[in-house]
Amino acid sequence: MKAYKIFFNTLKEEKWIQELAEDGWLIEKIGFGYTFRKVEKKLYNLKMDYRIFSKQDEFEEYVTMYEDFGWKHIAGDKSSGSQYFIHEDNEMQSELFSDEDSQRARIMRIRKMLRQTMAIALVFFTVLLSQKSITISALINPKKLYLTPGLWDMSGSAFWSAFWSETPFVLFRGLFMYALTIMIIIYIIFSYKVQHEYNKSLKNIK
Amino acid sequence: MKRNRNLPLTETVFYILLALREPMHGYLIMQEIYELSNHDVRIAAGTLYGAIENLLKLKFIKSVPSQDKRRKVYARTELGNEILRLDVERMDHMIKIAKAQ
Repeated sequence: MKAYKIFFNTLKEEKWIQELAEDGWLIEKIGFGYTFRKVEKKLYNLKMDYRIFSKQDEFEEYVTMYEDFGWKHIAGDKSSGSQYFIHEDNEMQSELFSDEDSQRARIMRIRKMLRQTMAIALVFFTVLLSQKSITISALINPKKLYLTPGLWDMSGSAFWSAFWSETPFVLFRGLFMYALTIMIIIYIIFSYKVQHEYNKSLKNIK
Repeated sequence: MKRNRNLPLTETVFYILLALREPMHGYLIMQEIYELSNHDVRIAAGTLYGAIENLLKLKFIKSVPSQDKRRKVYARTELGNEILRLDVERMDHMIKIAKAQ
């Protein structure tokens, strides 16, 4: 089964994947969308850890250690962040973390990743502004999207021919500018919201 | 006297350092701790992995060469010996004064 869904909050993604496992759908691959496989058993011991590795052998050593503890790695790779495991003993309740410090540390790793991407988005936005790819004044006053000198002082057919010949470019530039700005703003709003949710999850660990 | 800022050690860290009186890999550390604690402390995989990562950063333990290519083997360092000794002294003192009451 293939499912398409977008999660901003990695903890909500984990919960969704766990609920599906309890219905007998086991996560197989996370990439563009999610791939699940039907299994006989209902799986109650599906857990997520969050780690990004710089080296492949570090990732392999990590997986080996978890496997020694009876955790089978089922989804995730070196740089995916989310690492999904199921415990071979389905009857016993098993946890990946046995103290509060490490439970908190996992959420802090997820939050750190979010903060890093947010910082990159902000830098990206600033660069676009400084390169004049996005100009605030043009967003507020679309007339400024027309670059023909003296266009708005022209009149009659001279105005209309200049106006119509530039309009396709303006639409393209304008659409790009608006779409990008809206996307970045939505992204920043969501990131703040999710960061707040992570902070709440951190407080709930007691 | 200024106290070392890594003190007191958490139960997890204390037991890991204690277990590493001889070199061993992750799963063996967990089993050793389970025995040492009279089957009271069972450290989970993720907790142990994170703690080892931290202890390596603090240079309280180091990874040592081994035959096993897929598993890293760890050993306590001089710094690790020292911090363990300090924490034992700290707890020793607390126990002494508690018992004297």
